[in-house]
Amino acid sequence: MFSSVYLDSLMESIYRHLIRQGVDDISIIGSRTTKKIIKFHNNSLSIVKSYDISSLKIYIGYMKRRFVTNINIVDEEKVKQEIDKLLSLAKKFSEIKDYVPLPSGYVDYHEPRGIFNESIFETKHAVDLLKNTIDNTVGKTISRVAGTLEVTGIKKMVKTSGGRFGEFRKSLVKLNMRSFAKNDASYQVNCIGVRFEDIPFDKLPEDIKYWLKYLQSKEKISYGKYNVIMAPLVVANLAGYYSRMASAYYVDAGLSPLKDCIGEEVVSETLNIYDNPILDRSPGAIPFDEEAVPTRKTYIFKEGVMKTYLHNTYTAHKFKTESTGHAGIIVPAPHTVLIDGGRDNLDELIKDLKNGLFITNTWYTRFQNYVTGDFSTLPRDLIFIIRNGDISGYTYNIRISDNIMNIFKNIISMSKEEYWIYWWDTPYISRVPYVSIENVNISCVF
Amino acid sequence: MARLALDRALELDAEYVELRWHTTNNEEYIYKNGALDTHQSFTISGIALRVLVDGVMSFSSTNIITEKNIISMVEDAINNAKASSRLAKRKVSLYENEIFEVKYVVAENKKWVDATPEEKMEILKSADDNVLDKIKGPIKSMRLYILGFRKEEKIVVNSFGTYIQSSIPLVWIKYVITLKNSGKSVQKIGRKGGSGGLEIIDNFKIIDKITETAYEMSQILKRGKPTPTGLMDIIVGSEVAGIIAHECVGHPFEADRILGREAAQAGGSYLSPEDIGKQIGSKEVNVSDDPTIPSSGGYYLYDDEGVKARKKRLILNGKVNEYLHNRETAEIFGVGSNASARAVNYNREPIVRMSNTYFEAGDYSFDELLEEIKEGIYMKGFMEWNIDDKRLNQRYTGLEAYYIRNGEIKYPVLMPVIEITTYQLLSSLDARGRDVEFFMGLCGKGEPHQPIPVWFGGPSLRFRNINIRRRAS
Repeated sequence: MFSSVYLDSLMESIYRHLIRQGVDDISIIGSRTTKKIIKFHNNSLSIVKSYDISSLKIYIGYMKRRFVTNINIVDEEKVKQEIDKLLSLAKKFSEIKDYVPLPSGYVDYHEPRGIFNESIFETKHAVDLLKNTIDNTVGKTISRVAGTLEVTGIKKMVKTSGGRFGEFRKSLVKLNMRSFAKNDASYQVNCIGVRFEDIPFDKLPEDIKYWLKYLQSKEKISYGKYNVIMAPLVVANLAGYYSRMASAYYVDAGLSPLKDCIGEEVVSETLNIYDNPILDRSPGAIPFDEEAVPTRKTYIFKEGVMKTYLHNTYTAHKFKTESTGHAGIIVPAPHTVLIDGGRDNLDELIKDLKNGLFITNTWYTRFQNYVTGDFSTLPRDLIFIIRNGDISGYTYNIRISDNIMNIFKNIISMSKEEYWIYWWDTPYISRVPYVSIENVNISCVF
Repeated sequence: MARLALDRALELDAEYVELRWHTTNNEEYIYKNGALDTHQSFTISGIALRVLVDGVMSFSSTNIITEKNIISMVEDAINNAKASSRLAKRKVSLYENEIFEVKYVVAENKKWVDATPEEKMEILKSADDNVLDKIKGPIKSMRLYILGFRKEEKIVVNSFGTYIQSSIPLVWIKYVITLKNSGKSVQKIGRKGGSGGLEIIDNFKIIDKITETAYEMSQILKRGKPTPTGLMDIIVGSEVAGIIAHECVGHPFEADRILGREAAQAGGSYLSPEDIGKQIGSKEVNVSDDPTIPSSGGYYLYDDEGVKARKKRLILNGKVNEYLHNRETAEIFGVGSNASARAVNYNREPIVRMSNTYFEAGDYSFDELLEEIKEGIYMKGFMEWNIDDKRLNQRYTGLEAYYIRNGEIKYPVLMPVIEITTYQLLSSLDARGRDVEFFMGLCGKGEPHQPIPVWFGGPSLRFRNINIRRRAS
């Protein structure tokens, strides 16, 4: 499993070729990804898919010009031809004003423990787990389920002209299942881990049925401000967008409301949002970035205060600071998004909220203006109405229409339970709790 | 090698085998705030395989193209199908459309490879200079432009006897313009382009369009007033018409969504298989999807299952007329595939997709649309939009938007919001302009994601009695 000898030698050969061409800066990121996806709908298999993808991402700094080439052809001569073609044109590109060399010198990478499990590739076991989960979910309450079970193995390497080399491998298991009751109300579960044991296959059918039991009372609500509990799927979506906006590139490009916010209290003082790609057993683990800078735990917001933008070497130079280990050669980005849990459990959050909404999922988050942070997002699946500290029914056709800064400023509490989340509409692998938020603007269509 | 793979799969009891050699070469010049930021390129090349084994569809892909690896991929796909068959309560079968053996190429009149980097940077510099010229004064700006090129080359063969070889280049400019003044800001993200070479930039007057947008943004910033609210008549421009056509007609007309196949990701549909012929809008609603429009962003002549493309009239005079099908959904519906199967790269399965989706032109001039409105809004362009996963509850927030009084455009208004159900919206359409224009986008669907180039567009449309809201935040 995971032979990548050809990729190692290809990277080495391309590197030597670039050195011979007199290139100033080189970063080569090689990766091999093998993946299987079992996709299902209407309680039946849709398709089984398998992937074996080898790719190279090559950054070249040459005569103060910057080039990035992503190529998945593993034919050495073809890759060299592509590179030579690019170098022959290099002088015709304009110089980059803020050009900066890649970092150099020996560094240690902290490889998180327990992030690779070869057993995930046992197809029969995956099919058994999925079949039991579907069979135990569908029945009197739930008429149909759809989703995917996905297993992935990743081997990633980086080699730079700064004298650095790193490699690691990781496994991922991801289950996404949406369950529909007979009246078409739905509830969605999404789990991600590094081994099958991280996914609570046995527990999920009961959890799904538990939430779908509240279907007796469907109500319309009116336009206005509500106190809201957001489930981890919602939190991961919004925190993902917000953390992306902490990228120095987006701040510079006018695609973020976080300009001039370093040192300012911009989110709730109860809130820590951070990246920790070196966490043991984390599905989002990665020990180095695309410039071979070691990754580390990085607070974006700590106790409400914005601590840093996310930087690669280029943006760090421009902002007169150090790289935070978030290259993205062009666009720095979070590796993972983590929010610390609070003290209460979900039942206590519901009780404390007294009156409001409990939104279990969202999608289609879109911004009117990234500088102001005005956005809307569409809750999907169950939206519960909370009255007197209890769930009293559910609603539909609503939209969160607010400002991303307000949302994170108005968080009042978090559940102590935290969940690893990653699905179709989550920007980054995330570990987040349920959160309670005051005064969320809700619009609706009836 | 394809012959070898087909033979091996058939030997191993596959009922259907399909191979697609698929290469995309992409190049982007990123120009930020008046200077080149980065040049990046992507080459994605490999082979996709689908086999049908006892009613189970199995997909496999690889970019290591050796005889040994291709045979191994075939065997892996067959084994995966057999190992997963316990989950299959329904057998997949495919509609057998007419078989074609065809090669076609979209020509580049001004070839991308023949233009120097200086010439390409000059295109972006020219766009930026024109924008800066239009917004001079106290307004501060941030500008990001991407000049992009994508050349997609494919060979599709299958066990029905199909052989389709194609080469389609695309050129576009994506832009992000942000203007600020006196503590206020406006922002627009857009993309214009089409299939062909660099002549696309001139043919579609893309730089002029971006410049015009920047000018309108500056006027909104200087003169924009809070939007009036309540029930009123509206005219939407081609960009808004296009997003309506794409989101609340195109997507819900995808037969795989109607059947529930995308329910856990991109979602379902408000339509059911029985809804052909159902009246869902006024008689003015005529929406089509047509991949054969020359120079279009979603251009192709044969889909990724080898079926010959044609125009599909999704809604005809307000009635559901035709869904978008691939061979699998066509077989279930008992109709022929209408060539809507597309895959964005070699490592993606072909699924039901739109191409160029639009409201058909009417016979009104823009002035004729305007003159019958006493009080209303002209929403020419938008930024924020979204729609629920059944495609019923949607919202469009205007950016380039204006107040109409007594048949005349009076002044810019700030962020009018249309938040409405599909049935309400489509039932309110009462007139269509002659001025069809298209916009380019990357449509999202599939697991893993398959952002695929499309056009969306239409003429100016007039809707009666629409509830306009202000954006609250």
